[in-house]
Amino acid sequence: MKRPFLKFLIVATAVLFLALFSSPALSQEESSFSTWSLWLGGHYTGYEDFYKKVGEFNRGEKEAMPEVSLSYSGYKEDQSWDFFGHYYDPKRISFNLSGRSKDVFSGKVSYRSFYRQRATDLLENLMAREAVNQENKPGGKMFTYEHEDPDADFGYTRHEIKTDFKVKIPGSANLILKAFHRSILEKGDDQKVVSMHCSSCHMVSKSAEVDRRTHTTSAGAEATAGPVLFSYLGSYRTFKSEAPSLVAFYDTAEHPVLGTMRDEFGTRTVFNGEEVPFGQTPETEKVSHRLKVKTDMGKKGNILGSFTNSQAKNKSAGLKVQSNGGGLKYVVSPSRKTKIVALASLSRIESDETEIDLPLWRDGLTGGDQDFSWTRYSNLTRTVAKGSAEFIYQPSRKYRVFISAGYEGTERDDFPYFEAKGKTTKLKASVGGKYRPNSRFWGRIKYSFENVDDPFSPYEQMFEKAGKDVLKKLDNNTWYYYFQRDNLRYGSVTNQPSNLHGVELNLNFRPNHKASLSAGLKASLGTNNDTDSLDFERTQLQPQISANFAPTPMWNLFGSLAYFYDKSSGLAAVAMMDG
Amino acid sequence: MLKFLKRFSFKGSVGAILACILGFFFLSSVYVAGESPPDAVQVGDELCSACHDEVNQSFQKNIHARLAVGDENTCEACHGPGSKHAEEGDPALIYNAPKDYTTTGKNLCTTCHQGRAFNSWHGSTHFEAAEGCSDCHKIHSEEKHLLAKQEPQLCFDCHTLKRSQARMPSHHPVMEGLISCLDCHSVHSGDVKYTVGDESRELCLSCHTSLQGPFIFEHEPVNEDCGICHDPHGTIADKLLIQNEPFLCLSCHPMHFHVTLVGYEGKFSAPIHPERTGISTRDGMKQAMLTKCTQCHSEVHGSDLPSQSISGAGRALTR
Repeated sequence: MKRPFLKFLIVATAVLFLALFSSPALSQEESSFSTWSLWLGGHYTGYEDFYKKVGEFNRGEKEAMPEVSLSYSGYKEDQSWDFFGHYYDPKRISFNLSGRSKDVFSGKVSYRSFYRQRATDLLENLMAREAVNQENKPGGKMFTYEHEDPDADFGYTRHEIKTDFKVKIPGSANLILKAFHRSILEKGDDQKVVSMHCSSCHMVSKSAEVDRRTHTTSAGAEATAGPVLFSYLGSYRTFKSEAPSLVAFYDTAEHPVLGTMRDEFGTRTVFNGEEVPFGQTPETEKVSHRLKVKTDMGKKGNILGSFTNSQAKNKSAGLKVQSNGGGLKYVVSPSRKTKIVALASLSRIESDETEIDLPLWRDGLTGGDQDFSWTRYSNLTRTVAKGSAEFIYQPSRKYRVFISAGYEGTERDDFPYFEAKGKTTKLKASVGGKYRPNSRFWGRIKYSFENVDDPFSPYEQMFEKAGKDVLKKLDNNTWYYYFQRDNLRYGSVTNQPSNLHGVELNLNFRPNHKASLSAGLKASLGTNNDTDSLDFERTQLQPQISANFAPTPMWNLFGSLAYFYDKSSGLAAVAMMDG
Repeated sequence: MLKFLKRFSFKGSVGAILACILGFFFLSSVYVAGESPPDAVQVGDELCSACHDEVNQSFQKNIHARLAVGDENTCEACHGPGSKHAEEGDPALIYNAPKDYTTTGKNLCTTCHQGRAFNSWHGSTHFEAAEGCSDCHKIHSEEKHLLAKQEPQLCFDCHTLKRSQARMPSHHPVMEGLISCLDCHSVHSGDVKYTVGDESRELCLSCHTSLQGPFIFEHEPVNEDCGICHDPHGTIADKLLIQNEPFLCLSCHPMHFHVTLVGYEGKFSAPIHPERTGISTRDGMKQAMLTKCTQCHSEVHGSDLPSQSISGAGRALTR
């Protein structure tokens, strides 16, 4: 762990201890209680040959590793504190310290770390050469690869420190101040692959240092005035990668077999024959404000309103995203047996556009000098409106039925796609019931339906018309190029459903506090028949049954059997290159 | 005969299940939220523990007991005067706050437990699904957050699909105990945690901050919703992808035309880079182009650096 993180952890822990123990009440001889436990153990993995391959998070150990955990809990008068710490291995440590004093001050400091093993792509599939005819004559298109660090064992340790403090202002029973901090440090290494396809498609695997740091600081206040509760929370988050910048040498663009035509191939690329950076992570920050107001309407219900404002910046590229949004939640019980929950929200997100300046294509060559520079608009720029209402009828404690309907409209300013103008409209409905004759048994069934008019689709369509008789050659040019075929693309495509049906069934039986049985079924069917070229379908089915038995607080026996079926079907298209 | 036996066993099974369900209804007790009669008086903790000793033992380590320490009527602070209940032993003669469900969501628990975390409790999904606080909490427990069961098993009891997903090859380390459901979900408000609601993806970005952007070269579904490609609760495909590569990519993008090329069979070396050698097969071009798109398009979440091709407008996300 880096020193600044360690310092922060020590300071935060010290502050919490001081705040708790400096309270004068602790010096009084009042009733108190404390308990602690120490646990010692160990773990070992029997995978002698493949100990690294046990899992993404559970890394096997070749030798037995000791484990220890310590818990402490106590109170004295109206101060209380809890500690739990666990050492699993040097890369998996956690502790949690919390305390409160006089119901005026409360605080938590926690730390946890774990190791995430990253997969190593051996790239072995990237070795091939084209055969130009049936006589197996080698052609010009080929793939090759190399590992710069083939024995690397990629992975990183994630450290997270959180502190959370609340103070109720003395003398003001209704004002609470809050402060929160969270730091995440990811440190280790990972695989980065860079491609250079100018003379042969050659992939190079490099070991890249990981040193990512995220800090989030929040502060806010909560105040009550009569039936109205106000709360405000402001947050500031930063991200920076301290890892050294990666660079790679990109091959000189030339004919892959003859080593000629450097002007031809070189003027089609932004860079070649030089060392350039790649795999960079920009430095970012985000500032956000959230204001909430809640009004209690007595036994009838309440109204909750919220407003949020945020601004996210990519400091490396000078781009930003701004967002403003507001929402209302109205919960009302017209009678003892009925309730209505209504929600409405409106938000506006604006993401900067940016100019992409590119060198002229085939600069200075006959039939060249085309300018591919463009303005990058963002599909994140949008207005989102949502509304829903749920009606609940509960004639008795045993029965409840509910029905709901909702609307969600997303209008993207700068992302029109095939005949859809960038707007997605969702209509949702659900109906269900619950039967709970007593506290030991309950069953619930729900059916939901969602209709989506023009779900999100990528900008470029999937299929190509035959180009032979349609394509027009560029001025002064005798060739057709790949990019000319883009204009032949048609056919909207998406993996998002336009109709989504869902069914949920749950049965639970809890004969006493020591045992429980549950069975459930969840099924969904998503289809999309609206696109002009592709019928999409996704089916999910998941029945399960489980049992839990906890004869004493020390023992908990649990068993479950679940089956999960997930199938999606669609078509895929190959570009024909018959131009 | 076999058909008859099959039908018989099917009917028998259905009958047995129905009998069990009906049996549960008859054998199970009814709700008792209870109420202290007006003429009941306080009797003190000692008398309560005479019958409820097990509860009392556990309660001594409980946060509620700590807050009420020094008070001899700790139990009755929540349950109300208990003299009538003590005399007759009738659970209906004393108030049981956790089982007190009302359509307004108000009971004794919400007298203290209000504020930011509970702002949206009334009318939230959990409020409607549960009935009273005791579905998830054992109020006298010494467990963390007074949970009736250790998390995540408590959550999985209702969210059964998530239980299956948590055990899939790619998952967030919830089953390993390295993160918890509560790291993302705010169970009392129906909200997601850390989210300042400007984008659906904000929750993911609060940890995966390196992907926040905004990037110069964007991948539109990344802006739209992380759920288009990922399922955070667990998937069979690597990296929480809802489908394996290349199929996920191909549901929106056409393949490269190189896929259709027949491969050379035999050893080869790149003519102008003779140090680059290997063995090619007839299906080699397909293997190369149809295995994993992110081998080349490695910056699939976005990048500030242009890719190499000018006519591709630098958008290929390879750098």
